[in-house]
Amino acid sequence: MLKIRNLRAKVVDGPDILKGIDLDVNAGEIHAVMGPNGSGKSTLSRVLAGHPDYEVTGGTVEFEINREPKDLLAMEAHERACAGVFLAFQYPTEIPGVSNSVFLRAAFNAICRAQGVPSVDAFDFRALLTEKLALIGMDDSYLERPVNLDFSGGEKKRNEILQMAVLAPRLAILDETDSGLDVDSLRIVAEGVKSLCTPHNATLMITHYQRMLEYITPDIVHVLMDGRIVRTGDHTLAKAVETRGYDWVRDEA
Amino acid sequence: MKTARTKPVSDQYGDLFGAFIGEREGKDSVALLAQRRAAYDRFVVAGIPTRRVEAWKYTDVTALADRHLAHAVLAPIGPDDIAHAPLLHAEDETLVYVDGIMQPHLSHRHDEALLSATALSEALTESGPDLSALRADRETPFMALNHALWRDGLHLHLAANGKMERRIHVLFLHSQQSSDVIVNPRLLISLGHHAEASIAVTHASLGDAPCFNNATLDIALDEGAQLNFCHAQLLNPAATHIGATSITQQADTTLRCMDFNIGAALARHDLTVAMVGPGATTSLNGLYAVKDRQQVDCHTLIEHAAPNCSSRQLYKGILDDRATGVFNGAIRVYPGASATDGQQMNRNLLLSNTCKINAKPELQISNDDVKCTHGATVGRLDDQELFYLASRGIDTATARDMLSRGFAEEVLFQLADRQLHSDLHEILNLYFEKTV
Amino acid sequence: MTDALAERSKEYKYGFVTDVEMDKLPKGLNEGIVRAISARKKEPDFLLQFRLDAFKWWQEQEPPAWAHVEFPPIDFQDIHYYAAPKSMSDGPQSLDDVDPELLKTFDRLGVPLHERERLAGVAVDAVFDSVSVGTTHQDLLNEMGVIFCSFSEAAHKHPELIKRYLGTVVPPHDNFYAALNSAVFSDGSFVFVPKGVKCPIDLSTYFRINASNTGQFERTLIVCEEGASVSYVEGCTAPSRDENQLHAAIVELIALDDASIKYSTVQNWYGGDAEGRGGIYNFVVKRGRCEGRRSKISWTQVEAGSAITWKYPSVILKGDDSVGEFYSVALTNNKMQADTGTKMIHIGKNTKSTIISKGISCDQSRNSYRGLVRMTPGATGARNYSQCDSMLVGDQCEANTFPYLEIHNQSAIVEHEATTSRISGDQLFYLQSRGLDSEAAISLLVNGFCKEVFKTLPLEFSVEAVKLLEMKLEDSVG
Repeated sequence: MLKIRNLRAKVVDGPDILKGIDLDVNAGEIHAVMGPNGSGKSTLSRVLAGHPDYEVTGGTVEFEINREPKDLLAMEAHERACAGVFLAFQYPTEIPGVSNSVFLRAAFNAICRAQGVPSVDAFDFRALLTEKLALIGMDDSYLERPVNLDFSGGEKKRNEILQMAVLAPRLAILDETDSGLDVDSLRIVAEGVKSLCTPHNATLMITHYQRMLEYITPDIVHVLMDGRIVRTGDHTLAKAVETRGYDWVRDEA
Repeated sequence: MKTARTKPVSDQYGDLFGAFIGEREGKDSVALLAQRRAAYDRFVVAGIPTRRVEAWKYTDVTALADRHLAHAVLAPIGPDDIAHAPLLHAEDETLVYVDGIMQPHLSHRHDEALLSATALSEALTESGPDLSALRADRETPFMALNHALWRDGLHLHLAANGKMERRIHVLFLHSQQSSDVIVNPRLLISLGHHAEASIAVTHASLGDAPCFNNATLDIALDEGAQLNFCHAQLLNPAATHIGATSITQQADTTLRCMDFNIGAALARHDLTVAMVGPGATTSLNGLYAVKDRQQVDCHTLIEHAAPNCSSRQLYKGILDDRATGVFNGAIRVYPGASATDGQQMNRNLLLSNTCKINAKPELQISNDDVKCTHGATVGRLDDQELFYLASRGIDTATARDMLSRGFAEEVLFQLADRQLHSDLHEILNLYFEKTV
Repeated sequence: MTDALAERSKEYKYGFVTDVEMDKLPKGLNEGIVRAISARKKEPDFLLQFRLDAFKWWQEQEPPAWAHVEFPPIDFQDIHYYAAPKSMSDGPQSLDDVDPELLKTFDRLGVPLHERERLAGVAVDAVFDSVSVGTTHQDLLNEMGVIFCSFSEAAHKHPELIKRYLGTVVPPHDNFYAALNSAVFSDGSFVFVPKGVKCPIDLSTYFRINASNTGQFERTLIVCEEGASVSYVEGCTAPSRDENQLHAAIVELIALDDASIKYSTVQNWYGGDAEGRGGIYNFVVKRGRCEGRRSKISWTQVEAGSAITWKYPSVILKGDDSVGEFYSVALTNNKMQADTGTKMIHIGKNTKSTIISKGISCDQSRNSYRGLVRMTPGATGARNYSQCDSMLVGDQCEANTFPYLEIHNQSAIVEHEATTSRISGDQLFYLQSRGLDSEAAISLLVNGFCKEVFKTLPLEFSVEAVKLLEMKLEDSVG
């Protein structure tokens, strides 16, 4: 469903960070993109989500919508979200004054509208939310709190997964979702993610460490270094990186 | 007709200044004498602000315009005379001033190599700086008067990278005099880069005679310096205190400040902290506790003029009898001071039905990358808490006492220096013993 | 209209000028002008004396300068103090006789006055420059005993009520602009709700400045007798002009025992262009007195226009157990300046006040909250809660908070909180990455920030207010 060819990108007014990425993701697959700090992992996730701070300098990204390949790079950030691309942020943004329930319903209905499905009313939506809340171990009181404001690190990450559960994306990009989590939160978050993986969607996990991969076994592992994917393999590659470090991959490459 | 914004000062001030400047001839450099004359002229031109001036909206100081003030006539004072002066500890670096005059025989110096103490009159030679230029744009009439009239000013300097283990204590006392006197404490403190010190400045009285204590204090922290600073105003109930304290913080400096105001019939303190270098942090705690007919007016201004600075401020006030309190605290964030984090809280406890508090917390923000909050509360002791204590068998008077002390303790608790904490705690005990 | 003006009018959709023949008094202010205004309106003598007394005092005063706003000195001799469409100069007429050009103007402003199209559920008094054009829904109001008419009409038909209440909340000598208004006020609205009557529909005045070089000085007086209640809404617009125009109105509210007055304003006077040229100086004195026990006065304002807004809708809580409320959203963009807030003066026992203020500063504007809470020694058991939040959009604007808490009673409980935040590119991206387009994202942020205020507005005005803010914000949020 996702086909990336020779993708090059940079921060506006900065040097290239992505220097030619090739990546294919099919429905039902879980991919892990690993790499050391500064390799371009977060840039890749933000470029795919359409962050305005980045400029694509070359290459293509095709995303299948209704079985038709579409140029993802030509779409606005909200259009990508409506088409089923979801980014779980490494540092979720605080939004004072806007409650989680209002925010989630606005997003849910925007996506429903874009996909030609009728919107839901507040009552039905609440029922849906209650069900999803259980998945990440949060209670109703959370819904009335402003989005991410005064959330602990663990709560912010769980909130990202809740949004993912509610918005049901076809392509979920998890940017360092395991960072800043204690062991218990990591387990809840990982199990939440795992339960959301189906044969119809795909997951791209971007991570530095193997922690999260203990819970979710990826089908394919890529190692990203200096803006390029230098090695691709199965889940054993992740283990090898963990034990032998990134230098080993660099030397091999 | 509307009242004027200032009240002209009486000729008494001219006589006071004339006599004083005559004495200084030959002692002060020509340049300093010129500075003093210029400062006096600015004082006369400015006059005494009336309540029409926003900064003096709640405190009337116009009586000062007509006071017949003189410099104190100094009688010999020995160690026994100051035995009961507050915050005195033999192990401190102590500098004692009586009526604005340095008392070497009452002071204790331990480490003169690290901490230099220079008389301002020596520093201000022909080539020396004009002190009043330090804060030229902010000079109040009282600062100008201070510069015209200070007797022994002091410049304390801690060398770069110097870490002063001992507490530095500058004690300003005024003695028992038969006439109404003016004392003008003048102090300049500078910490070299990455120097560390703990400094206390105390204003106190020997006896119960009135006095107009008009203090000006400047503190400069060079890069990376760390200062624990305590300002304690403990004057007798007949005194008038007007103080201006200005602290400038360069990059990566840390300031922990305690502003303790409990004395004087009328006390006004303007405390300005300017964070001019990035990465500076300030924690500013204050307590004012007044009763009878005391008036206290605390003005604070925290200026965020550089990026990535943070400030935390907690000021608490306790008022009893017919006392009046003012808290005016401003946080000002300048353009370019991105990633600013400023918080201010002011809480006031009213113990009588005849006291008054005027609180004016202000935010002035000229930058969008800021996180600033302020809050202010006014109230009496909480009925629920009183009842809870009563239900455990504690009588009302004791319960009120416990809760009032607890209210103050939250501020004192911020002091890292346990000795200072216990000293101020003792002083506060006296307030409560006579109050509750 | 010049091209430049036409260009600007696109941004400010109420910036058009209506071409009608005007009856203007010459520029300048002197006793003769004051007398001429009174004569034009064929006023009873007590009103002329009221004006002359105010004028005499005003001449001895200097304009106040304490607000955190900057503007060149106003030349009070360079302003027309009276302008009225010629067709209205023969005094009040029925709506059928109103110049069609004027009716068209109000249609364009979304305030149709004609019987067929008038807004359901809202009675409107339309004021064009210095005079009232007409008031809708008169029959229903007459039936209930509610008086809602232009001030000029009230001066003729109900002089005893005017005499009893005028200037009792804002005395002519209260301040410089209050005195100026008291001397030269032109028209405005008068509302009287008799004992026990709950006014069944919202009452609304729509103010329109049209003529150039003309000051607007309306006077609104609302009285609710024992147990009565009314909800009143004020809206305003003006053409885009290069010059600054002065608007110095007075609003007085009086609530007797158990009465309740809700006063809402959606202010969208022309605010000047991006360079700060032109726009209205909105210097208004609004004050209510909770005279009776358990009375309630509630102000809601959405201030989105004017080059300078300088006003403090206030409540004097005199009756025991009375309640004062102030809900405000003030948005400034371009080079607009606002210094606005409230005063809550607690006199009676167990009086309560709530202040919720939301300031949004964009571009190079300056937005200040200034508010006073005073607990007098007699205000036993009084309470106040204030919350003042500022939102900054862009790094060249200014947001200030100046609360004054004067507490002279031990049993009073006062809490004040203030925060600042911003609308940032990061927040917009976060919302967009969840499927919201930029318009929906801004709307969500604005609603989130202002919801406590919007929910106090009558529904149709709330919708209008949200749209107004979104429109103004869209240009500023990059």
